[in-house]
Amino acid sequence: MSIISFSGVEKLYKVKKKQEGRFAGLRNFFSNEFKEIRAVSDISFDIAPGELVGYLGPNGAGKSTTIKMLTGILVPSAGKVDVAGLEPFKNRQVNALNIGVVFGQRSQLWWDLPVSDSYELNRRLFNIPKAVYEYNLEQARLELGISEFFHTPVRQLSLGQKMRAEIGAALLHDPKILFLDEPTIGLDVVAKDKIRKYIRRLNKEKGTTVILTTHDMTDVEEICDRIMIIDQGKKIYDGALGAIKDTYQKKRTLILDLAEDYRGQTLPDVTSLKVEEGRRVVVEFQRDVISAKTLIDHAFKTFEVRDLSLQETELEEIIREIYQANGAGRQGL
Amino acid sequence: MRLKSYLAVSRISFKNTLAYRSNLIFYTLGTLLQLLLMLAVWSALDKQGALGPDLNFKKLSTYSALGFSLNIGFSVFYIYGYLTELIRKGDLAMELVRPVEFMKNLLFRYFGFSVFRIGFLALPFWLLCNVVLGLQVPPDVPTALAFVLSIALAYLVNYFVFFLFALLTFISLDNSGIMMTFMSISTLFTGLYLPFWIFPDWLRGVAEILPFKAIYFTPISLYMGTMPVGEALAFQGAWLLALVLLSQGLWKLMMRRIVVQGG
Repeated sequence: MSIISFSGVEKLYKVKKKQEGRFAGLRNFFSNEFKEIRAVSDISFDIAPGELVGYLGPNGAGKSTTIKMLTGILVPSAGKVDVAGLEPFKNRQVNALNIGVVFGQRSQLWWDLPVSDSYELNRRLFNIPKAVYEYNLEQARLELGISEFFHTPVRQLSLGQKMRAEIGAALLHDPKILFLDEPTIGLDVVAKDKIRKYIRRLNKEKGTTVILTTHDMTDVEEICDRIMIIDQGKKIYDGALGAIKDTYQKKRTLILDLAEDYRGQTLPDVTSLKVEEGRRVVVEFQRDVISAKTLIDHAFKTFEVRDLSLQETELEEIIREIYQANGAGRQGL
Repeated sequence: MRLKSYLAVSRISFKNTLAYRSNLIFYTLGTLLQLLLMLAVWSALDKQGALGPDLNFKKLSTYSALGFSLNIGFSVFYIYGYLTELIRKGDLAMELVRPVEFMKNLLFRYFGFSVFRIGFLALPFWLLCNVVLGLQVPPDVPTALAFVLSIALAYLVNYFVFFLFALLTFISLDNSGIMMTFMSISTLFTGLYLPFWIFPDWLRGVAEILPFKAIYFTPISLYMGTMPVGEALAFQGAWLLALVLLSQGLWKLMMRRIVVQGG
């Protein structure tokens, strides 16, 4: 039973063709030439209640378009979107009660008024029962630390404070699904950490389904169980976070600090072996060719080892490789 | 959605307006200057005997004072400015993920904004004008009561006219410069600055049928007893209905075609 289902969804944008040359501005104004841009093409997926999904892709891949179709802001050009049993665009207002939305670059708070006023407005708009409102407010006070600026006008808040207030506001009505579109953009480590922990706790306690788009792979590692990657409007990966590591994280690096000078020794089945200054040997190997244990055993027999460390490929690098394999990654992560 | 929820929008909007009260007070002083200018013109024309047999200084100063009082209360560009900003910056997205009907939500927001302007600026302005200038009063009590209803209708017509202007900027023209010009010209047809009485016949013929007339010329004429109550209210009501339907239709069309800007 899925809470979100996307089947064969497409989104085409009609964009006015830009005229060039003489009187371009004037001709633009009278032009009726349009070109179509396929922001999302034939994407399908299902998300079960309580899943924590990282929705990744380079800039302009179609992530925000997907989120906007799920929240009822945009109409899909083809295919079927289902969110908690509703078609979002046709039931925008009812759908709004089921979802919480945080767009990292937008705000639902009233700029010139204290945070408390915007919260109070949400309480009334979403018709939130008193007990629920007070409980969620208390959680936001404790875990997101909004107490310190609850009565401060929003325009005086720091970016991190504002984002914490936004997340608290989006969760007051106990939404079944939380959409987070780049919620940690530009935040310091403390604010990021508070937000990640809060989302994890929320998911455990209430079973809230979370869809997160981000360019920060630490967000993904600390929040998500599953990741989907899209590029140029197409889904190019969908699987568990652990599985992506098993599939792509084959390359490992063993770093050895020797107690003696390197004398040209070799190790079996490794991809490469480099000697760095200070008696350091850097060994790259594939985990499906030789296990770390076997390699380390060999190393102890071959060298006088003083210290060693083992490095995994970072998730960020894996994702970059997936983008690049797809001909993307032009803008990087 | 319940009325109570929408009133919460009005309340927060009222509170928000207080943050800008000094701007609004200066706006009112600016309007006062405009009124003085109009009065100077009427007075000069009166002294030259250029007003004709039907008009006099008292009549025209009542017209202008009432027009500018309403103008302070109606806060002309609020809807247009707010809505176009919302769409241009892409913040419309945030408004669309709330459990409210957008057009109604905006109307109640506008209402909260207007409460301060009507109660604390327009009304004192009107009273001051009466004390200083000794203006005309409505012919009888029923007319005075009908005038209150007429203001409410004018307020709503004003809202929907500007709502439509904002949508048209994006749907058909995509050019706010042209829209602003069109809007300035339409101000002429509201009768705010010049009563239709002094229009040449051909211009008056156009002005009489356009919806803009319902915003200033109609309620003021009703107040002064120069337009039958029934005619005034029917004209306003008919245009209000038409504008509501048009706005709803255009809004739906726009929602289907919308590209919410930005990531």
